Amino acid sequence: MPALKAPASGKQESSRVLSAEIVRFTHRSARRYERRQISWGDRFIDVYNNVLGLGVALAMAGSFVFAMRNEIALRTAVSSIVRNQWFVLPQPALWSLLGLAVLASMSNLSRKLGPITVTGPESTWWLPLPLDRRPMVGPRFLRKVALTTVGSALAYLLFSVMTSLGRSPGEHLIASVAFGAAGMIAVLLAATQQLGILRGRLGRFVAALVLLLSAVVPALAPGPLPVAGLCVAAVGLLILVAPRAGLVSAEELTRGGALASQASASLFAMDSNEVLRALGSGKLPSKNDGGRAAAFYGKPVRGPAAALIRADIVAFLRLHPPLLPPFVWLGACVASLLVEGGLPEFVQLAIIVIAGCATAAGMGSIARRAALVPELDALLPLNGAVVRTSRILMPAAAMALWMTVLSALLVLLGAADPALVP
Amino acid sequence: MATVLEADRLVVGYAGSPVCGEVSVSVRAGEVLGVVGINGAGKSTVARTIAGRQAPLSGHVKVHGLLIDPDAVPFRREVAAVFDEDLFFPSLTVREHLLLIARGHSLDQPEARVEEELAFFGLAGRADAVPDALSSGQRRRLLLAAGLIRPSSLLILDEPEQRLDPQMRVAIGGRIAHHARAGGAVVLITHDPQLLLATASRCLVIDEEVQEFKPDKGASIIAGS
Repeated sequence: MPALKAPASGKQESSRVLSAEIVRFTHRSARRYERRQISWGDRFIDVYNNVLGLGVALAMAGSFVFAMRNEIALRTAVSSIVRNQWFVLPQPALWSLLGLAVLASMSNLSRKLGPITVTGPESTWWLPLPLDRRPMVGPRFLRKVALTTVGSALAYLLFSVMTSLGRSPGEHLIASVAFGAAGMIAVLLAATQQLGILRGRLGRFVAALVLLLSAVVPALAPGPLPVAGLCVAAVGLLILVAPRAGLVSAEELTRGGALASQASASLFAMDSNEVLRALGSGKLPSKNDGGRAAAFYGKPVRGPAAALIRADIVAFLRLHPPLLPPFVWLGACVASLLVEGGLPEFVQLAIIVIAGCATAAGMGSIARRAALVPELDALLPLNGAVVRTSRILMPAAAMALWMTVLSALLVLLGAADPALVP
Repeated sequence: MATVLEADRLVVGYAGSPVCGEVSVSVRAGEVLGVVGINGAGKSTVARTIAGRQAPLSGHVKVHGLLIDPDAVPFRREVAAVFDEDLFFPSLTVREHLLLIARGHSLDQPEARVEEELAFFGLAGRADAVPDALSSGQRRRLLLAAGLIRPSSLLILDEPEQRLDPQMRVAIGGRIAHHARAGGAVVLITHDPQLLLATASRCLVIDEEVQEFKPDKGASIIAGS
């Protein structure tokens, strides 16, 4: 039997060529099959639906942006829910913070969903082949990077037109290019983590620093030089990551792909609960809780309802609900109240409402996970309504705590009456 | 015969918890190692660890004297593993799935090899069907064909008898024996005593303590369980 030998560099090249041929063969065969299955009528309907949907979405986005721009222009100077503003946050600082939050979310989401991935069938049929994996994973990865770049630039163009009233069209364009590059950097940073280039605390610190710089450039009046610097950094990262895409482990490629397909299928079905469940999966309940949860769980209880509530509390604690997002949303609420010149009242209220909804959705993770096994609930000698109520007990308690902190902050900033807190 | 697979004080499991006792075993070229045990004993976890699908909790696995690296090209060239994974390209036919493997392993005359395997696995009549149009047993045959069409010095089969009719079980036994005669090593996880007796030269019983027996003892353990 032949011994295991590393392939020579010439073999690597031929391995890459063969790998690309395998990818082409798969796609060609799939297209040939699909051509046979889908009629011209169906194709026309698909194109018609997509063009129509895109057109409606663009028209709605455009109308919304210009309506908001006019509203902000008319009301900026006169409104805020804060009566006496004792601290002023400069607008560029607010936009930088907002940009950082968006970029950090993009990078975090990219890390969860890959960004270098394979689908389920590809993991079974492509990955075990003794070939260079770059042609198998590279094209999809580059498509994701390109889509994120273009999407970020377009979204920021709309945002810039809406909020930066003093900018010229050229400045809007430069700012959107800068944010496009920042979005590209966010995805590429996720890929560097996947490749193990950035790891540990130092890696996270470097990534956060790069994202902060990327967020600041588009928010300040962006000059051509900083924007060019950002673009060069983005391209540099791409040059670093793209040739190494084939080095991501099969386990990691499969994990990201499975998560991405579950999340995208849930998104397609417009099932927000399932999307959040998909994004929250992969985190196993920690065994390392020092035994406190187990000890608490082991104490005697009276009656099935008390046992159920205790089980839910233990499950909630063991899942380690993420603490950062509620604090980030609190920060967003405070920042919107302190911004220089004051945001319109309805924008400030909208931010508070969105923060509340997002935090409540995050707190509901226990209820979502528990809902996965309704058969177990059915085994309990309890009314279904009691079981459902117990599921939301801990999320409701955590949400009440968050609301109390928010109310206290609103009172402290002069945006609400002290009677709001109790 | 040279040692192909060597597991030394291997502990396998999930989230830090072992699922069975420590495994120390070696398989030489030309040998078939049967692996048996009750449901949940950890047979498939051992197989997945040997195949590099999951990391061991402790200990190590070597193939041809080198620690396994499931992402290394030489490992992928030498080790074929067939698990019960119903994942197929929905728009590729049976023939195209096998062609993909044959071409990916640079086989000579891949089309002819594919036709041979289609005939062996009784899939010639369904060669142009997509996986969704196949029965469960036919999809299992396709997975086995994909594992056996390619060359390998270590073949890992996780309960290959599942979903197969008795004739095909016998035929698979013949292929496993042929693979060993040609100098390959085989790790065969099975619940089928006939398949074990027909192919295995040694038998590993997975439990809280992992022990090695002769295949007839392994077959009686399967029958008893």
